[in-house]
Order: sequence, then C-alpha cells, then structure tokens
Amino acid sequence: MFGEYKLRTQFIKIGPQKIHIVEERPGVFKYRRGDVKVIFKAGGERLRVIPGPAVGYGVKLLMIEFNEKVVVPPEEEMDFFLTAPVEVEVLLGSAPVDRFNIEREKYALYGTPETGAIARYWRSELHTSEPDSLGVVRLHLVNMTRKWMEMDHVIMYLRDTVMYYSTERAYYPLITVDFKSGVPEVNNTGKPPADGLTPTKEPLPLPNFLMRW
Amino acid sequence: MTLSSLVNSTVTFPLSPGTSIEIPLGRIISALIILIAGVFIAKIVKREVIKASRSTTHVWIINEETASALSNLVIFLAVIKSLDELGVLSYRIWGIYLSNILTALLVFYFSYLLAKKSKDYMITRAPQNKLPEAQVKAKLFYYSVVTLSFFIALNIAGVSGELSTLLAAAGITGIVLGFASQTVVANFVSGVFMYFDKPLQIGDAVRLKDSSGAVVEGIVEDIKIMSTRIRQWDGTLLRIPNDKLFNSEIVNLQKYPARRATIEVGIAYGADAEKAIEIIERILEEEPYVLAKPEPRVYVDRLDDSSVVIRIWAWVPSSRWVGENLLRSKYHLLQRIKEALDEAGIEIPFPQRVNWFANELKVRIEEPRQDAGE
Repeated sequence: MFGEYKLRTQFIKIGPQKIHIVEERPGVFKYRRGDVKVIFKAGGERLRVIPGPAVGYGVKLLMIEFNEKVVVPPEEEMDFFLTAPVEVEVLLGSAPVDRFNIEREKYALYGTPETGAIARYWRSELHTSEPDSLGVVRLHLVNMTRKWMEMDHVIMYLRDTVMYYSTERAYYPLITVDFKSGVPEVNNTGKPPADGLTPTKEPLPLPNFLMRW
Repeated sequence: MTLSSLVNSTVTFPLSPGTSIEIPLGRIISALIILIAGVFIAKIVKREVIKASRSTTHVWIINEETASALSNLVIFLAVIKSLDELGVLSYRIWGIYLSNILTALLVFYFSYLLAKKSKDYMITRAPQNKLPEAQVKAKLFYYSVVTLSFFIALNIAGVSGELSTLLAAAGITGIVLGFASQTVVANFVSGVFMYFDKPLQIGDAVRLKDSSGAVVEGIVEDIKIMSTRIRQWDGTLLRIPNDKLFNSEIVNLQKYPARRATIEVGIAYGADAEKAIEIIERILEEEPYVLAKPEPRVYVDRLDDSSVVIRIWAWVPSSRWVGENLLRSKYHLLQRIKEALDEAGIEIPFPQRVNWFANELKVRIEEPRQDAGE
C-alpha cells in the first residue's frame, strides 16, 4: 500500500480508495482517483505513496479522545497504542500529485470558543498492543510526580510532523506525555515508534505542547 | 571675435516689458554642461541600481523604483546647480526666492519617497499573522510623514508665515472650507479610532448593518485612512467611508475559531419527533464541519401553526461557515437532513389550515348538461 511504485499501468489500493495508473504512451502516464486526474511524464522517477498527517482543511492539532480514561500511578510510566487518522500523499519526485483522506473527517474545538483552536478529532481505544488500523500512534505516559494522574484525551501537533510507514501501516512519531508540572506536556519526539519503519522526511521533533484543557 | 570675448559676451533675456536679465554666455555654457553631465550621471546611476536589483536579496530597497528616484535626484541637483551657475537662484517669484522654492520641492519629494519606501518595508517585513496591523501602522506612518514634510517644505519656502496670514485673513473662507471638509475629517478621525478599536482587520469576514438596516457581508480587503474596502461574496468591491463604518453594527464572523450555527427544521405534527431528532443527530455526527466538541444539540423548540419546529445548535469552524464554504458546510448539511428525513418518511410540511364550519356544509353536485359541449 505505502511505498514507491515503478510506473506502469496498474491499480494501487489504499484503504477504500483505488488509484488507477495508465501508460498513455511510452513514458507518459495518466493518474486517476475518482475525479482527480493528472497526466505526467515519468522522467525516470517512481511514484511515492506515503502517509501524511491528518491536517484536513489545514488544522495544526490532532485531538484523540480515549474511549476509556487512563490513570497513571505516581512515579510510573505506561505505554499504549492508539488508532489515528492519516492522509495519503502521492508524490512524483518532489511534486505533489494528489492528497486525500482515507479516514473519517471530523473536527473539534480544543479550548474555549474565544481562545481555543480547531483540531482534527478522533476517538480511539487505548490498546496495549499495536492495533490493526491504518494509522497508529504510540503513546508513552510518564508521571514523575507524587500524585495520581488521569487522562482521557491527548492533543498533539500535526503540522510539519514527520510520519513513518511500513507497507501496510502509517505511524505518527513516538508521542510522550509528561505530567511533571501537573499539566500534561505532550512531546512529538519525531522518533520512530518501532524499528524498521521508513520516515517520510527528515525526522525532527516538534515544539512541546502544554495541554491546558 | 576671439573665443574669450565670445565667452565673456552676454545674452539678454527679456522678462517683462521694461525688465530683462543679462547672463554671460560662458555661464550659460557651464550651466548646460552641468545639466548634460547630470543627465549622464543619472542614467549611469539608474542602470547600475537596476543591475544590482537583479542579483540582490534586498529587492524591497534596491529596485527599479529606487533607481528612478535616485536618477531624478541627480537630475534635480544638476538643475539646481545649473540655475545657480546662471545666477538666477537669487531671483524672486511672488516674493519667494527661487532657491527656497526648489529646496522645498526637493525636501517634500524625497520625504514622500522615503515615507513610501518605509511603508512598503514595514508591510513586506511584517510576519503573516501581524500583516493587517502592520498595514494600518505603515499607512499611518506614511500619512504622518507626508503631512509633516509638506509643512516643513512650506516653512523652507518661507510661505508658512504668509499662509497663516492668508488663512487668518480668509476666516470666512476657512469656516466654509471647514464645513465642506467635515465629512473628510470625520472619515479620517473614524479611521484613526478604528485602528485603536480594532473591530475588524484585513482578511476578516464581516457582516455590516447600517442605520437603514442594509446588510452587507464580505472579506475586509483594505483599511485606508478615509475608507474601508470590502470584497463581497459575489466578487464586487464595496468602498465604505470610515465614518459610516464606524457607526455601523459590525459582526466579525471569524474573530473566534468556532461559532454556533442555528438551523430550524419543521416536521409534520403526525411525525415522530424523537425519531427525527435521532436522524438529525446521526447526520450531524457524520458531517465533518459540525464539531464533535462542543457537542451539537437538537431539540423541539416550539409548536408552530403548521409544524413542530426542531432546532439544531451546531458548533462549526468559523472559517468553514462563511462565503463559498457554506456550499460544503451549511447547505450540504441542510440537503443531507432533508434527504435523511425523506428517507425515514418524516414529512416536512408546508403551511396548512384546517377550516371548521359552524353549520353542516351541504354540497350539491350537478350533472353536466347534455348540451354543454354543443
């Protein structure tokens, strides 16, 4: 599903979406996905189908609400997996050919109507092992305080994040949540959540995010 | 005639009947040489600046406009030097020395250029999120410098004293002008107040309602010192004087990230209201631009003459609920609600009235006459 494709007449299936590539004449191809049509010359390049962060219409944040609350004991750490929305980017060289959603698109207001921000919204169970889902987030909770901490959702930066992928799955970078000051501090580390994954670009951490709400 | 005697000879220019000025031919030649040299240097300066503009990263200052300005400056200085050579700078025009007039013009022209360049610099260097504020600040700076330099130029020309006397003498004219410029001043002052009040910024989607009740909607394109430009949804540009805008009701549709949309749907009295609410809630859940948080609310609002009115409160991203985006948000949602209710057999009624007659109504049906068609 994700990866590099040698250009020839073929179907590529990405979740519920189907990409159709037809070689119109030697070296010239037509890309078609539903109403999206692009004609291009291969120029020796391969078609890259890679995951992208679920920015939707251009939001910066992703809010994942847990189906159940999690409680972290004092001076303990916990690891979970969450399902997450992803988008698909189709690139030829450095040129974007297509970008589309393969998950349900939904948004939520994070914070108050006066000072909040619109975030991409998703609901997920807390999985103790990697779920069978197209998009996955690995969450590492760290509570170095002397208090019991609870959490029912996580907010993370989306824009400009690196993504990782295997042929079948897309992964957000490892997300750590540190309760050091009582307010959860979310860190998009930019690091791969598991070994053997391919990054979509140079892996860089994003600024830490304080979850005030 | 030798060359030296030719150079020392004079040329007489008649100014008015009875008066004339005599200028030695040598000075005229010098003045011409200075002028030609000035034009030549100006061309070189212009060419070099244009050449530099093609390779520099400071295009905001080193560009064709700057090249023309510098070229004009060189020519202007050459003209002054030529006139000085001719010895005419000490002449008076309407009692003002020619040198003072030219200096005043020079000061005003280059202050204007400096102000314009500074304005452009302030706008181009502003971060994207502070652009609207930077634009207004830059314009205020520009107008302040131009106004100040105008009065400085008048002072240099030596006409400020005369101007004051003239204005004082023409008191009645001043009052008349004052009344005539009342609107202009009102617009200017409103523009300044709006800068500090900040009811809207460039790029905001706004709805304006004036005292007559007329409503306009669109995106703020520009806030000028006298008027504000609104690009309406149909693509037309509306210019509103700041005075009028300042006194209007201004609804900023995108001030906050989310806003609550209200939609009413009437269903027939015979329909199941609970089922209708469930269907609408499902549609709201599926719609991307109806926010999951704060959760939407759906409830029976009132019992109207012809329908049971169900009200929907849905929080939506402000940027998705204006202008053309309404097609993919509001109108799409309305269509889906209509289709879902139709599919579930829930009738959306039209106004209807049941009439009761006090006495029993008798109806007589007449058979058509045999000869009616003949």
